[in-house]
Amino acid sequence: MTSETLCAACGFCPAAGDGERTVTGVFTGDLLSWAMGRAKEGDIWFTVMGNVNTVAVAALADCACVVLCHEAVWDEVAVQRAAQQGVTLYTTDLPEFEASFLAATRLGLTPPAP
Amino acid sequence: MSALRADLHIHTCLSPCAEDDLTPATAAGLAKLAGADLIAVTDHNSALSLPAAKAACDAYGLQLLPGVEANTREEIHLLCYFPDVETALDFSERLYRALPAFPYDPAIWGRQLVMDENDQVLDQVPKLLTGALDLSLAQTAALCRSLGGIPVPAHADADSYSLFSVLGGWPMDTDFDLLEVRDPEHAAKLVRCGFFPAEKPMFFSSDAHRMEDVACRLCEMDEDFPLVRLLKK
Repeated sequence: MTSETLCAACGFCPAAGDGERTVTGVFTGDLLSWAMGRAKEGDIWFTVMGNVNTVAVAALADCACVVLCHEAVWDEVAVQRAAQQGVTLYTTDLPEFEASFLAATRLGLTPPAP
Repeated sequence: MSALRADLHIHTCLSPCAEDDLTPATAAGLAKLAGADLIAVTDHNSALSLPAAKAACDAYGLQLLPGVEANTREEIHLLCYFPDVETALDFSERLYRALPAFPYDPAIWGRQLVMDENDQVLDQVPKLLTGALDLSLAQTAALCRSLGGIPVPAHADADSYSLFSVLGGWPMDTDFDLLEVRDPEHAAKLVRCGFFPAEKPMFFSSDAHRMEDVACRLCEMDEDFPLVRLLKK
């Protein structure tokens, strides 16, 4: 499923990029030093960190898109950088857990074994 | 003139997470005993300890660099240094307006005592000072500079509230001339790995929240060091 299809189904608002990348997983977290080694290629990433550095980490990790939760606002520089680097950004009023849960459900992901 | 022995990151009883006994006058006295020439009192998001700290430093023959440790929207700690106490207080007032009105219980978070130089309590601050400001790192740095101050990322290499932990490295939307680091060896490693630029001067401080930590390590700074020059302006 592409970012565009998934995020439209979840009601997330587009902020930058074309949304053409296919989403294959979900990553949720805010500290970029943690995200750098843990967000995976094709992930839809849920965070509240609207800084331009988030865009750089998403590009490095090759995430499908980034969704800014809890009504947080993307910094202007972040939106510009995303447009330059082809990173797709969204926003949502939902908290990170709800937004992640919604996306995981739409993607048909199953819970990890306990 | 020989180098100044400095500790440019000391909290007082104004910070809820610091000991109540660590008053501005006590901090100045302990720093003098430890052999410091120059200190900065840098409480979380507030400069209200600085008038007492200044009076105490004058009495002890210590130099005071007025400072505030701002907590930006991203939860990055940013040391903001100013040439005089009045400017730091002006900055501090602006930060207070940008602090969330989070329910604050001194019994849970600790008291936020405003003291005079004789260790008398003048006031208690009603809003929690350790909250994150509604100002981004870039906005806080710009505000500091607009008042003639120098912003310095605090404990930039640390595992929390730092440039490294929060942003994963150097910010792409603002720049800094200096860095405060917790562990110079770790910081050097981060430079080698490309997380921080190589040319930025670094210094370390105590980040004291307890009496025994004040000036527990002193960084030598010569007259040309930007923060020493700020004081001479």
